[in-house]
Amino acid sequence: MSSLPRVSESTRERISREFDNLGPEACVEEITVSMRRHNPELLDMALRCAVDIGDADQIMMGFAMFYRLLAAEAATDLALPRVTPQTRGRIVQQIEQKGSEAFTHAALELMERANPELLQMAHRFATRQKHYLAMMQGLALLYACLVAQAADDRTVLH
Amino acid sequence: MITEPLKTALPYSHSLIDLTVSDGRATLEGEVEWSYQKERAEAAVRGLPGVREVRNLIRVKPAVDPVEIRRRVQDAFSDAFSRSAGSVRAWAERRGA
Repeated sequence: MSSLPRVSESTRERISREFDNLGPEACVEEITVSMRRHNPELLDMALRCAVDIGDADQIMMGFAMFYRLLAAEAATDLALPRVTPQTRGRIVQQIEQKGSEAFTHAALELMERANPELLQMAHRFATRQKHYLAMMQGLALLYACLVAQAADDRTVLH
Repeated sequence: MITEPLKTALPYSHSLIDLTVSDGRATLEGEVEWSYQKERAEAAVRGLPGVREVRNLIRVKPAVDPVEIRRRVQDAFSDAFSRSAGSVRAWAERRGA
């Protein structure tokens, strides 16, 4: 089960206001700097996905908001799992074993159960994009990586 | 541009809202998630020169049923255009791995 922070509806509204108050470009810039420092593997995946989908600035807005929501619930993004290259490698293996469709469904089902407000954000943002499925797959990938890393971190602690 | 005040008031979510102005009447339409977006859009339009009346028809949408989200994702996987936008495996893989 996920041990990531559970995003609340009020946090979603607060972060939406934050994007509207400060402007999305400033928010994405700040969050990207933070991800580069604290979660470079996750940022690399997000950037690759954004470039692949096209309209990278717009797509990065979705990834930035997704990460910002979790960081806001965690109080600080230092409290979020830092995805390692090893975890990333295991996720690649999972995708190879399950296939990308089954992998995506599994990650989204987990999000639905453990973080339904995050799923709402993902769906609503993806709905505004030309490539709905690719956006959802990208967000599912990031979520799966964070969940896997959280589980690893727990194992190390115990 | 008539939509400029909307963009200024809602730089993130203005794209969810349509604005038309005719004979001094501004009409706002669209679907947003939060009440502040609807209220802020109306306040921005009220300040427009020549606007005497504002009809705010923006709907605040309730949460989407997760069953509907699952169906949308499932349908997208059946669609070739949707599947053409990239590979989740490639995004996951590190460069040079």
